Formats: sequence, structure tokens, C-alpha cells
Amino acid sequence: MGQLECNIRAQNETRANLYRLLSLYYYEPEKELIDKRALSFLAAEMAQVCPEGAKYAAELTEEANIGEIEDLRIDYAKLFVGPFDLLAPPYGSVYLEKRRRVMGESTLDALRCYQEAGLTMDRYFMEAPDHIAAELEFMYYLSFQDLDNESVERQKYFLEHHLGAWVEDFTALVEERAETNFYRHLARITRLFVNADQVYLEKLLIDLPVR
Amino acid sequence: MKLSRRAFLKGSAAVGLAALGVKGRRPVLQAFAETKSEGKAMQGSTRWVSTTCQGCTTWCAVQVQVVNGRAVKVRGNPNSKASNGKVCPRAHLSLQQVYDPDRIKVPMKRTNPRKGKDEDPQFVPITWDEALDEIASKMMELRRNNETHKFVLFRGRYTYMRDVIYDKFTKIFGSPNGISHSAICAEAEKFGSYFTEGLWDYRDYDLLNTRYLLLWGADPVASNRQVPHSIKVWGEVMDRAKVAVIDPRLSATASKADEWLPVIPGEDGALALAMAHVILVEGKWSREFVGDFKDGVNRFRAGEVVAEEDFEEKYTHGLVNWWNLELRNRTPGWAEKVTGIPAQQIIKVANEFADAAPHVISWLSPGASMQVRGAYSAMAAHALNGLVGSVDNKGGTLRASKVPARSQLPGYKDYQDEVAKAGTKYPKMDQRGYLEFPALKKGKPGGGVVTNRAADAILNDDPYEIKMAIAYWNNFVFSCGETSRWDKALSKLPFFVHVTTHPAEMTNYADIVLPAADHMYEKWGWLKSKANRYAYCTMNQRVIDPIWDVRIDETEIPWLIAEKLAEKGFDNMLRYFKEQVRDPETGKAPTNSMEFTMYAVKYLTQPLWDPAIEVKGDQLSGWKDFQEKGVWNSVPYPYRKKWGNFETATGKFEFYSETLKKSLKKHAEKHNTTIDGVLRSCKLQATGELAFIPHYEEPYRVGDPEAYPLIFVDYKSRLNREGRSANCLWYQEMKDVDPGDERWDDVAKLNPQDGRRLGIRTGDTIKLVSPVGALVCTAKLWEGVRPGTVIKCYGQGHWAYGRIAARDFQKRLPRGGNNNDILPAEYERLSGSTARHGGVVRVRVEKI
Amino acid sequence: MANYAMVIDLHKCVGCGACAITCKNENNVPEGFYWANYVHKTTGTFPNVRYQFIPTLCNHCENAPCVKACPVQAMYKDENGLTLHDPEKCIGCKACIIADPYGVIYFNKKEPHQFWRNNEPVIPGATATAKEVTEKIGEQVPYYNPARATTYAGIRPKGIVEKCSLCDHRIKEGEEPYCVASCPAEARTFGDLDDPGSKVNYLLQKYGYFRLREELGTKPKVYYIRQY
Repeated sequence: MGQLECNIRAQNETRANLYRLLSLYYYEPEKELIDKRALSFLAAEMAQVCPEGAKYAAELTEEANIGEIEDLRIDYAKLFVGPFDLLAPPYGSVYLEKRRRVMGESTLDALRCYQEAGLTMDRYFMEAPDHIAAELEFMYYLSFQDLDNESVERQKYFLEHHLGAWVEDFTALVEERAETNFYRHLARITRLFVNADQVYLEKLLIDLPVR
Repeated sequence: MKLSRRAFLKGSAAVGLAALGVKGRRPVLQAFAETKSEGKAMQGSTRWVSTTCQGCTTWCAVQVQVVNGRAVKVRGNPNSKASNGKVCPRAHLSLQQVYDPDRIKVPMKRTNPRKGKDEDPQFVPITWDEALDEIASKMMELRRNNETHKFVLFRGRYTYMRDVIYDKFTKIFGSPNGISHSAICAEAEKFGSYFTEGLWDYRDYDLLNTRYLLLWGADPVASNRQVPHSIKVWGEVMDRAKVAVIDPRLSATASKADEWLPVIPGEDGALALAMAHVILVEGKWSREFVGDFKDGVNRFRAGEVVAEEDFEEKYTHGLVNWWNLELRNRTPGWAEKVTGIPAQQIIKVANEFADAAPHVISWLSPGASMQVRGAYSAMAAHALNGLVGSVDNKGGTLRASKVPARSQLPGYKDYQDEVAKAGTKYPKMDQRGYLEFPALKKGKPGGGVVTNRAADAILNDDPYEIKMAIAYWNNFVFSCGETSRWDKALSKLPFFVHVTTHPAEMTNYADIVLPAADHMYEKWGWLKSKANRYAYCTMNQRVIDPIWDVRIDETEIPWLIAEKLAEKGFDNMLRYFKEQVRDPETGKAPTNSMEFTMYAVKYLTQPLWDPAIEVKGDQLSGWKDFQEKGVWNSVPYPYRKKWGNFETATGKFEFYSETLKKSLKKHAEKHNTTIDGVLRSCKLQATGELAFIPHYEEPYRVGDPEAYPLIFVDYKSRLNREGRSANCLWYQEMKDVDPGDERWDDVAKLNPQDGRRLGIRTGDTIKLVSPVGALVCTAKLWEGVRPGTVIKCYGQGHWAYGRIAARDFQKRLPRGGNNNDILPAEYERLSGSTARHGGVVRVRVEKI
Repeated sequence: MANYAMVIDLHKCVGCGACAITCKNENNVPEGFYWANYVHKTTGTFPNVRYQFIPTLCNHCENAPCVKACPVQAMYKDENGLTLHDPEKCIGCKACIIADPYGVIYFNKKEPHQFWRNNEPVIPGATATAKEVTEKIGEQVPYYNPARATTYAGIRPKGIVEKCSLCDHRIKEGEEPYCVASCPAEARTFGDLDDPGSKVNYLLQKYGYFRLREELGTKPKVYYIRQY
């Protein structure tokens, strides 16, 4: 294995970790995930690929900045769950489709992407397939695959047409409407990382040895 | 939206995540599930890795299917000529052993200073460094006080890497006490072949060419030895040969046999002698192997003495002597009375056996030899092979071709200092060689171990006080007869270290517990064994990365202790390891425990894989090749190789054992007594010349027949991985593959006649009481049991070992009962063996 | 298109149970369920005693009562004569279990593999829990066989039934069912009854055969030859 490939592999591990971790943060808050160790890990991994985002993550590791889990739960519910109007709907179709509807064409296209990669929605996943957590996890899954042009193309496509296409609008809403520091920062970290990753994949397609 | 699988969050989320990138891991999904076709694509990294199954002492070469770093399945190693890709059901249970949640995952330290079965050790986890430091400190203390001999290394099951921990480690430290488990295994069986043909080993059996199979308590389709090979060819054997099974229990093999001879326990010798009598009277001995009367006229007639000079022997010694001293009166009629087997059946079996000779097998097993007076039964049963010329012959009993591996690491003596030299001069602590424990391994008085006696040695400070012991891969307080003595001995032992995969019964007495690597999946080692005419060497490999913080018992742990001892000022052991054990490929010296392990394995097996060394058998192209194939096969064993040069005193197959005479004489002289005196001390009845020939001894039983009316019979399960598999779900779920047994239960089987008489019914909870102990289990009335006996399988009755093995681990309540709780500490003393068979104990059954 | 069958030679069978154990291994079968099983009986009185052992499994009946009973076609016959079960369609009504005369269908009343969900250590801090093992490994059962999932639910969820599929996932790959491959006695033969040259046909012709509860008219595809 050449140096280049080693670097790519290491980078990929970090990307996989970040996509997975970020995905988990869009579920109801769990205390294991908002403890100092988990957040330090987030900061350390971010530092590898997106120093700007790492700054926010580092701030979160200071306990005072996280806040009580109860507050986070309330904020999470208001932002993403309801029961009233969602302050920041976590579904791609809301941003990508003209009439802000859930389960539109873009949702079906996301599903097609999942299917092609060999995935189906888990029977216990009770949310729409274009939920931010699902899309982040899908990227985690893809970055886990062997590195070849096809896989990178697949990732690039998904970022361009899905996650990357609505992350700006979505995180902007969160940033604006969240009441806790935690979710504001999480929105920034998500945006900065996804954007940085899009740039990275472009470059990777050029660097990747042809096999 | 809540996380549906919080599983991975346990402990530190960060740590869990950091490991994600590790090669071979699969993505852990929340929102998604992999679809069918892609799931298959994910199997990309499926491969079969060779290793060894030590679920019994067949020691099969096996392969494990590894999918993305996980062990998923087991199969026989197709490269093995001994088992041809087959494994018995035991091998599969190993998956539930290696992934058993009840394995010890970190070193533990006892915080309750009181020891005993009913004391909770109150273990707390500690680091490896703390554990090793404490062990080394205790060892250094012994060194400072010139008491290194008060240290014992108790070995149980092993690979041939035992040389490191059992021999070199112990001796360089300065103790003579490498004490093995061998005497609770089957040493008395080896006695039978040693004092007839000079072979202190198990035999191989030429099943594919045999025409008659006479099994003395042996159950080859279920338990030791060469189980997969036996199962594989059994249909063919039954097509071609007749099978007779001698066993008070309808065993798995008896259920597939032509004849079942449900002998009264302990009377196997009588049966063998009567068969020999029949063969001689009927004139059916082998003329080719044994010889003949000079005039060709058979003079063997019941009761009549034969003149020695009338008979000319060829490859045997002492036939006429044997006849005159013993056989002439051992008629089938006599045998019927003592064995409970009809004379007609004895005559029939003896005739059919002799008619099919020499392609016949008289197959000796622990059942017919691990008896107080079983040494002579073992000789008698094996002598039948001599009588019909099936020994070392086509379709008969065979030896093994040589496996030219190295048995020892290089010399160690230069590394023993004065303390060590003085320490190793003490006699071993297990009382071997005492007048009443001749333990004549390979004919040498005191040459063999008397495992079960070690408990008494500790309790009575006889021959001297024992202050510290390290035990690995064993569980003597469960596996040795009369367990109550081990309970007391281990409670008395001031400092005890148990190296184990599971929290076993013996662990309960430990001061320090070290978690061991699983032998089949996590360890490096090698073994040699034989079956199907091939001897082989098979490797234990690290097939998967251990999920817990374990170390390899036989090599890593001695190295790690050696490092600690060096820190504390005694560096001889570490120097020995570093200077004498080099990588045979690169010449490099080891710098850590794993390198040491690898170099030592490579060094010992080098003659097999190094293409520069020519050997008789598979030619491998190098270490990698060996690792991949996992097994080295010898050339097939040639027939009749030993005829004329057996390793006996006469070079002949001895019916009158000059070899035994020499050994007994030596032992008697050592103790200033006569051979009769020796036999008396060994609870034997014979006097005079009978001592040297297979002769009849009444079975020795503990317990008054009035108080304990039934004879107890122990046997082994086809699912027992040497008593270590009771914590596996599949063991309990399939326990009824042992004929007569029940799933998830431990049943003592009585004949329905006895049940009616005693008012016991199937399903009753009963207590079996012997003079030395009691156990509780379930009753089952079953016709496959000889009336007058109670028959129960060994393996259940664990009160530790995990949540399934024990009925209640926290309360130390066993599932069923341990046979060793009611078996007395009795011995076949000539070999040093534990005597657990032959109806050594009587019991009474109480309904509760 | 084939007409698959299995022949079990009872003369070769030694009653070791490897079939039952390895089936659980191959198909991720939960505790308490036996896709492959066996029956045994002891007859006669001492010392004339006979012990018999018959390995059993789904008979993949040509005329399968479970298929007839299923209201949603979750239990069906495939083009190769196998009796298969579609977990997607199954509504867990258990009609198949009631109709099945051989007792080879099992209902997942609870989440499967309860053993591996337990989270209590026997020695806290020093031994693990079943859950901890599965978390470390990243599978619901540590020795989970992913190959099973290629044609059936890898582990069948709570609320539906499950049964032997004659290892259709292996057959598809040109392999024998696992109970055939793992039988150390080589007592089992798998093959196509429609192929006149197949070993199954050879054995059936050579030895004659019997099937379990033939009188029911189920036409089982598991044949037994010779005697234990």
C-alpha cells in the first residue's frame, strides 16, 4: 500500500466516524453521546478534516457549554419532532421540493440510492428515509466501503443531490431557532463538515489511482 | 426519534467509535439494514483458518470460518489425513465457549481472605501489571527463603508449548513441581500396552481393515479417541466387521453394535481372561505370531497344566506360564458367575473374534482400566491382541509414525542458580514413588504423576509444605475424585493463582485470577496425535483477535512473570527466554511475550515446516505454508514393524511380563520390601508370580453393600469438551444425544427393576449418597442400564463455570451433580491413575 | 427446476447430533428452536435392549399441510420443491404450526436470542454480559452467520414463525445443506429426484426407504434408508 492510499484510508476512517457520530446526534440526546469523552472524540476527528468546525466541537467539550440533558431534549423536540410546527424540519424533501412536502420525488431518489448501495430502511427506523440522521448514516456506510471510483462517485452524487443540497438551509434554521448552545454548534459543525467533505471528494476523484 | 439500538453506546461511546475504522469491522447501522444481495457482498472477507480442537484428546485438526474478524463456523481440516475434514459435534460447541459472556475478561484479585466453597472470593478487577507484580513478589519471597520447592505448577490440558510453563519456567525458578493432570486421564490404559508390548501410549486402530472390534468400555463414536474418524467410517466398519461392546451401560457405540456385553462393573479382566481361555482351548491363537506346540497338537485343556517345553513361541513370551498360572481355570462358566455375562455369549464372542483374526481389535479404554485393580484388566484385554496376532498388524492395533517435531526448548541448566538447583533436588510433591504409589510410568518407579494425591500432599504437608501454586487449564476441585479434599487443600494453600478462560470451581480459591486465551481461537501452540494410520502435527492458531484482555497461558504468562522477576532482581528466566529462543527464520531474539510465543512455536515445529529439513511425511514449503495448511501428516504406519523388537525386557510381546517384574522389583527394593508387599500396599490381591501376568483380581469397591446397595458407574458425554462445555447453550439443548440422557438435565439412570424395588420413578429428584459425599440429580429409569448399578454422565454439576453450567452461579448451586463429589479418591496405584471406573464406589439412592 | 430430496442412511448415522447443532449455527436458530432435530427411543428389556435414533427436519412435503394452511401464502412451495417461508408476508397467525404434523415450525413469541440480550454479568467487572459481547462483536449473536440472510431473514424477528429451508441459501451457491456437509458420518445425501443419475435415486433404489408418517399423504422429501 502506497503512502497516498494509507492517507486516504486514514482520512476515510475519520470521515466514517464523523458521519456516524453526527448522525447519532440527530437522534434524541443520549447521555453517553454528550459526555466529555464523546465530544472530545468529535473535536479530535473534526480537527483532522475541518479545523474550522473543530473549534465549535472543542467549545462543546467544556461542560458548561453543553447544558442539562433535559434542556437538550426539549430543544430537540421543538426543533425536530413537534408536536407543533417543527422549527427545523430534518427532512431533505422539505428543502428540496417546491411544496415543502415530505416523501416527495427527492425522497424516492434517496431511497433508490440506498437500494443501489444494498441498503433498506431498518424496520425499527420510524422516520422518513430522507431524515438527516439517515442521510448522514448513509454517508457513513458509503465511506466504509472499499475505495474505488464507483464508491466515490456514489458518495459525490449523494452529497450533490441530497445531503449537501439541503444542509445549508436546514442548519441555518437550526442555528437561528435552537435555544441551546449545543444544537447551534451541532448545526455549524454539520454544515462545515459536509461542505468540507464535498470539496474533499472532488479532490479525491483526481487523486485516486485508477484500477 | 429515539435510537433503536443503544447497544454500542455502552461504556465509552468514543472508544466504541474509535474502533470503527479497524479493518474487518462492519458498519453498525441504525437507520438502515443491509439487503440480501449486499449482505452477501459483505462476506467478501470470509476465509477458513486452520487450528486445533481440544474438546477431547483426539486433538483434531480443524478450520474456523472467519467472517470479517468473527468466528462463525467450524469444520474438520480437509488437509488432515487422520480425520479427513470431519469433526464430531463437540467442535461446534467451541463457538459458544470462545464467545461465552462468562469468560473472565480481566485479571482479578481476591479481597475476601477466607477461602472455601461457601466463601465468596469477592473478586475485584485489577490490571495485568498489578497481578503480575503480586505473583512475582510472592515468588521472590520463596526465593529469598530458599523455598522455591514449595511452589507448584499445576498443569491441566495442554499443547506442546507446555514445555515453557510446566518445565522450563518451573525449573529455572527452582521447583521440581511440574504436576500434570495425566493421572486423572487414562494412565492405567497405557499400563496395559506398556507391560505387554512396551508402548506407554494410546494405540491407533486400523478401523478400515478390521473384521472384529471388541471394545472394552470404549465408545469411539462418542468419546476418546479419534472420534471423527470413527464416526466417519462406522457404517463401513459395520458393513465389514462385527462389533462387540463391553460396558455396563448401553453406550452410543453399544447402540450401534452387534453384541452388547453389559458386564458387572470392574469384572472386565475376568471376561478378557475367559476369552483368552476359550481362544487357547479352541486352538485359535495366532500360529504366526505366538507359535505352536512343537508337534502341532493342542494341549490347552481346561484345568490342565501344560509343559513349557512343548510349546515354541515366536514373537511372544510366557504363554504357557500364563496358561498354567492363570488361564487354565478361567473358564467361561467361571466367568459367567463373576461377570454376569452368559458363558455362551463369552464363547461366541471369543470364537468370532479369533476367527476373524488377525484383522481384529481388542480396544482398551479408561472404562476397563481406570479401576483400583484395573492394571491387570488392561493387560488382559490388550493381551488378546497378542494372542491372535492383531498387535501391530493390518486391521489391528497400531502405533504411530514419528512426528519429528522438537519436544523441548534448548538446555536451561546454565540458567539455574544455586537456589534453583537446590530447589529442584527435592522430590516432587505428589507422593509418586511412595511404597503405595509406584506410578510405574514407562516402567520407572515414581516415573508418573499421581495427580489426585496432590490434595493430600498439601493438606498433610507430606512430603513438605506447599506455599504457592499456579494452575492453568484445569479444575481439580471439580475433575478429581473426592472433591472435598481439594476444597480443603485449596483453602489451605496460602497463595494460589488460577489461569483460566472461565470462572471455574478452582477459580473460587484463587488469590489472583489471570484470564487465559482460548486454545482453539486465540492461542498459539501445536500438538501431535494419530488416527487412521497417520500421525500428525496440528497447530493452534490465533484465529480471531480476543475480545477480552487475555494472555496465552503456556507462553505469554511465563514471559510476563519472567519480566517482573527480572525487575525484582532475578533475571535468569528472562535471559533464558531471550537468549535461547530465537526466530528460526530471522535469528531474532524475542522482545515481548507475543514474539516469544511465536518464536517458540516456530522453533519446536521447525523440522516439520522448514523445507531444508527432510522428514518422512508431508513436505511443507515453510512456516507460512504450515500456518495455512495447519497440519503436517506422517507417512502411513507400516504393519508389523514392531514384531520381534517390542520395547519390552525380552523384545517380545509379553504374556508373562519380565518388564513388569523388573519394575516391581526395583520399587520393592527401594522400599526394602517384597513384590508381594508392594502389591498389598497397592490394594491388590495377587501374590507370587501372578504379579507379572494378566490375572484375575476381584473388583475393589468403597462402601458397604448393605448401606450402599447400588454400584455407581461414571461415563463421558459425547458433548463434553473435557467438562468445560456445560456453559454452552447447545450442550444443554442437545444433552440427550447421550443415550438415556435428557436435555437441560443431569439424570442418574437406574434399571426399571431397581426403580420399582426402590420406589423411584423417572423425574424424581434424588440424592446419590456414597461414603465420601452426595449429589442431587434427577432419576431416570432406563433399560440400557445393568440392574444393580446407577449410571450417570460426568460433565454437569458445575457450581461455578457460568450462568448455564450452574443453576445459580451466585448461590453456588449446581445444575445436577458432579460425579467426583461421590467418587472416592482411589487409585490404580501401579500406574498412579485415579480410579473412577469399575464400580469403585457404591451408593444409595434417596428420594427427595 | 429441480425436485430436491434428502436421504438419511440410518445405518451410517451414529446419533451424534452434529446435524442439530450445526443447523443452529448455520441458520442463526434461537435457543429452544430445532430446525434440525431428532427422536430416539429405547425398546426391549435388559439385556436385550435396542436404542434407535432418527434425525428429523422439515420434510419439505410435496403435499405440504403448512402451505395449505397459511392464509397469506407466506408458507409456499418453490420451483425446486422446497417448502419455504416468507417472513415479509408472515402475519404470525400460527396456522402452519397447527397444520404441521411433524412439529418443525417454531413461533417467535419473544425477541429471538434472548440469551444474547441479557445484560447481567456473573462477576461484575470481571466477566462480561451477553449483551456486552454482542456489542463488542457488532452482531446480535457473536457467531451470526451472514450467509443465511441472503435468502431469508438472517434472524427472524418477534411475531413470525420460522423453519428449515433445506439451506436454500447454500443450495443456490451450489453447496449442500449444512446438515449434509457437517454430518461426520456422511449419513446424509442431498440431490434431485428428477435426475435419474443422482445419488439420491441410486440409494433409494438400492436400499428401499421409509418416510415419516407417510399415511398422512404429505409425500415427504426426506427419505430414510436402512436401520440405525
